[in-house]
Amino acid sequence: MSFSFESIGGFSQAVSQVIIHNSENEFDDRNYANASGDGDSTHSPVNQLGSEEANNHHHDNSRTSKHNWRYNMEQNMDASLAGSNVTSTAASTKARIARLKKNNNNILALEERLEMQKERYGENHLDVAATLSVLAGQLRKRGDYAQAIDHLMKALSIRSNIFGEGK
Amino acid sequence: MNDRFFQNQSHFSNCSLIIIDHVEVAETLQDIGKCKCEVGDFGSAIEYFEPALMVRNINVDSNNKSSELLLAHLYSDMGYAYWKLENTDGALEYYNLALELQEKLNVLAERASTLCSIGDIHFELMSYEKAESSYQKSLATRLEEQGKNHVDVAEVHHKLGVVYWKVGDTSAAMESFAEALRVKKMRLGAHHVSGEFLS
Repeated sequence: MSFSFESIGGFSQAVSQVIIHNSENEFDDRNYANASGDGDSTHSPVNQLGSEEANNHHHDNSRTSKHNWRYNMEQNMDASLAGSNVTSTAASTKARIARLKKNNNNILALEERLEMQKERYGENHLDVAATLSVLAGQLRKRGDYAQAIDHLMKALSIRSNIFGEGK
Repeated sequence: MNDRFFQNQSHFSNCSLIIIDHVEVAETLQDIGKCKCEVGDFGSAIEYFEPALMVRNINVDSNNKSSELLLAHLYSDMGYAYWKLENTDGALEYYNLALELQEKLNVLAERASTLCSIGDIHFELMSYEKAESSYQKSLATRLEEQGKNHVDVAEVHHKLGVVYWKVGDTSAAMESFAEALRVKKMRLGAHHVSGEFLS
């Protein structure tokens, strides 16, 4: 994967987002969630009577998917063993594994990119902030919230410093 | 301190953030708030959402759909955080603000989700009539957007079934559960865990 190092603020974020977006089209959260039956939407007391989709935030389908991926995978494996729904289960498990691999590859590429940007521009640069934000998004998808928050805090600090300059 | 800076005094702690009025700063604050929600730190999430909201409100362009859509997302995030803090008034206020914008922008999926969340809050408050009304609106929106065989539609049928069950309308409840089960069987297979209760 190659990266350009345009120094125009925002450009490289757009590039990063395009890279990530393209790589995720196949297995985005919504498709993943729907394929696994975590499709909706709401966290809810209404689910108390039996639906397992409780506590799924309305516009963030990845939450339940991530938290329950192991559980869902086990459920699907059980279903496979019972001889039911084999094709869709295998496809959905395969899709999940591919998605996790893709997510890990994205993180590695973004970390590498971040190091290169820091070397080239220094720590306090908008491109560094942009990459930190995108990397945080990927870490969040993996469920690594502490590291995601850490990166976002750094991005916030950089942006506040730069946009606050001379004001 | 000029108009590009403002100070945000948190309601939840003594910390005070100096916020720069810039959309990228707002975006970062919102992302931090979302991560805080993910780890269950909802009070802290609101500390980040509030300044993000100030910045978004300053920069919102009523002729720019994406700018208003981002504001609606932020309202939803805040509604969710307030709900998890058991502040149902705050949650309803922000969800209604989100709904207002989503109706204006005609974004059906988001509108349906917000209506569902509002229904959930009414359900929790045991206002079953209001919950039913919100779920019905959500169902109508989802049917329009996703068709009758979508898993999200099944979820709303399920929620409606629970409401009918609670108010003692068992025949309507069974009807809703049956529809939810039909869709889930079709989309997820007969042995999916989410259909176990319904069958």
